[in-house]
Amino acid sequence: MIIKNLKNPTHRSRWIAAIAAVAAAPLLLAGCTADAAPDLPAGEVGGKLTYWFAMESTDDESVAQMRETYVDPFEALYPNVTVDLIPQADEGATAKVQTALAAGQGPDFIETAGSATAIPFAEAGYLADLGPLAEKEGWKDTMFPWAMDMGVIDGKLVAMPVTYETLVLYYNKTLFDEHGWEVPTDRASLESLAEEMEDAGVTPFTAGNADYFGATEWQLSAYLNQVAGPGAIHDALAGEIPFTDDVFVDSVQMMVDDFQNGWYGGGVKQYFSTTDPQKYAKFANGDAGMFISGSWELFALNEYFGESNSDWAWAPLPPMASGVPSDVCPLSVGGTMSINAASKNIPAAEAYVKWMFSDIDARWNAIETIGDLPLPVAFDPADVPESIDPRFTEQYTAISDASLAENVGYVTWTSFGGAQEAYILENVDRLLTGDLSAKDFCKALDEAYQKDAAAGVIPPLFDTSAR
Amino acid sequence: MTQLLASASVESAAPGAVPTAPRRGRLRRRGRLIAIAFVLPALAVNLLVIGGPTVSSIIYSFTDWNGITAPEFVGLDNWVRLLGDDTFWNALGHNFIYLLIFLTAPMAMGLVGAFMLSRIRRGAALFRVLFFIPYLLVSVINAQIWRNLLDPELGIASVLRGMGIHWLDDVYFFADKDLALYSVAFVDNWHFWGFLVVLFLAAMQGIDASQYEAARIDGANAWQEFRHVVLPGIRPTLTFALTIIAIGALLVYDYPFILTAGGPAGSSDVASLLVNRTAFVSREAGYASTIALALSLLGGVFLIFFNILRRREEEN
Repeated sequence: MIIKNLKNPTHRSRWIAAIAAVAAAPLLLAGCTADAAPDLPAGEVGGKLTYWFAMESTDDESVAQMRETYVDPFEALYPNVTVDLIPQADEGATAKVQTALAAGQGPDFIETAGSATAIPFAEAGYLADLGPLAEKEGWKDTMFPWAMDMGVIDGKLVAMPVTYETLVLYYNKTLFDEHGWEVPTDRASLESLAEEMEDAGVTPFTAGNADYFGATEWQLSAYLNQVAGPGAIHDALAGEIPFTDDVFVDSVQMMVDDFQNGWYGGGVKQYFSTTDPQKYAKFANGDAGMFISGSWELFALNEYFGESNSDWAWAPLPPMASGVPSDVCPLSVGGTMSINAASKNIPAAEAYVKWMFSDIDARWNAIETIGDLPLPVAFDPADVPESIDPRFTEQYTAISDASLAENVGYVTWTSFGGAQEAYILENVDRLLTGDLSAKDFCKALDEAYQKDAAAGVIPPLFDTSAR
Repeated sequence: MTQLLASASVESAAPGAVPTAPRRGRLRRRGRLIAIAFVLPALAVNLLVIGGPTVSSIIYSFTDWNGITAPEFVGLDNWVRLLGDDTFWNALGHNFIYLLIFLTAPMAMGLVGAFMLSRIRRGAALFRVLFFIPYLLVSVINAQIWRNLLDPELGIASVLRGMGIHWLDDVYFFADKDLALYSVAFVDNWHFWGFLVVLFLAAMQGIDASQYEAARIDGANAWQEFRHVVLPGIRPTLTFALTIIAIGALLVYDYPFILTAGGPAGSSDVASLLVNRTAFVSREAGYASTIALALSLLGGVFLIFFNILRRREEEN
């Protein structure tokens, strides 16, 4: 029918016009949506970049601050590049990117919560290879070895860790000084201190997960490092020992016992009921003496302790079993950044990543103004601006030293595979309520490990000397 | 289409038809076509936003899709897993408890509230607004109000403690695994029951006034009036309320999410939260589709049941 009609000149011209319109449509659309770099002198980059920035609060002031910190300095350096910063609520930001990518859309940068989250994106071919850029920029010499390792998926560097943290023991220094308490250095001294604190009407640890139900995972990671030790965790993640090993069951059981004895927040129900502001306030006003958490707490602590006119300090997590080394820093990656392999402006996206990992002053500014955390790059404490809280510098210097000495440990949300992480989040609180035994928990954790191993989704494993 | 053709042929062949019959048939056909044309845009949108995702969910429910990489067909594995998944049955069980709570407390409160309001002559509008206000508040705000009120350290318990009353000292409404689900349902009920009051009141006002008068002349008291006049008179509305409650209880998400996130330890978990976690935390979008589909099937069963109920009412 079509062929017949095409023989008619009028019909033919219409069909040619229609075919031409259909053929031109993608080009026209591409013209509307693609961010092709304008004609520029060689060596310069230009065009538009779309950056979906996950934020806790997307109010105008926070967005403006974010723009000042993460866009303006870059645009000043690359005046031909425009960064379209689109704020996204933290909750569900990765899911939005996931949906957009599945629909063939998505921003130029893909941020994930860590290597475990980045793996499926890499397997789907969404993440561009950053290896050549890393080699050109010599990142191997400046970044921590573990950070580079964590970004390599299927042999390619595709996800750059953008922040890192560790788990430590914070304590209310004012309260400790008042009572003459010493920071615990092992299980015995911790037990004795907890008893003294309870006698004085002080809860040993402030804690609560009413605002973030996954918070119990922080405690679990701490106990795994403090009782089983980083060496055992490494060996389990390498498949050399099972997660059903007694060292893990003992670690989990000790955590459960401590919770049920009221060490954390005063009791299990109280722990489930306590919100973040209540948790910080109790710690700052001396109702609780210690706090096990990560480096990300530094700014919140300053706010609450400032209000209560008291002082806080930190110490490494005390080892709680014989043979477990001290001064270990369990390493946590707070997030990764990748370039969307389908980005229409890879040169500009690479320029942005390059800027991010080279403009260290801008990062210190971000740390100071918006409470961001450092990049996993070796640094000289002498270069840290004086305005940065010395306790912050001290903590990050300790992580830096531990990283270079490989005296590091593992946290579940960074080093465990997706099935294990999902199982932990889903079930860790059932340990505390007594609905799940430590043995069954570890058995299921081992099964989840086998599932992750079979699917090849265990994050790259960095080495540790903390044995 | 077949019907259109059949009716046209019957009309044209009818020996006793009036002369304007063919014209009338044409007009009727045209009228139907116009009606179809009006329906088509909505139908197309529905097909796009409901039909498309439904079909893809059905397909994905038979795959191991993680939401990112290419899915692989796994047959009935997800469905077999669902049958033995304690987390799913725990969540679904909570949906049914929610359903039971909502079929009783807010229904009873709504009926009583509406009946009492229907008997008030002065200030009825004011009470109607007061009852309806919680329904107009955003769920996040409602939830936060109650979270603060029931907080053991800041809320009612703290005020009572200040007065030397220690009834609520160790009551953790959202943190006790034996109370969390009921506390969440309570807050949701507080927000919802005003809507039922307004709904039932409107239905009650539609009852013929002569029926009330007849009942009063026969010496019926308030309870008898409620039982023999009001309840039969608002049956279609009751069936409608039951339907939206049943579907709502099956799909409930916002209040459990805001107040407890399904915790502590899954004690207030519901199926919609589980679908979300399975898809975006566990990254098992295929299995999440299976759970979602199972919920939809269950919702379909509810709809069929209530539709039968509604038809019986209409027949009666």
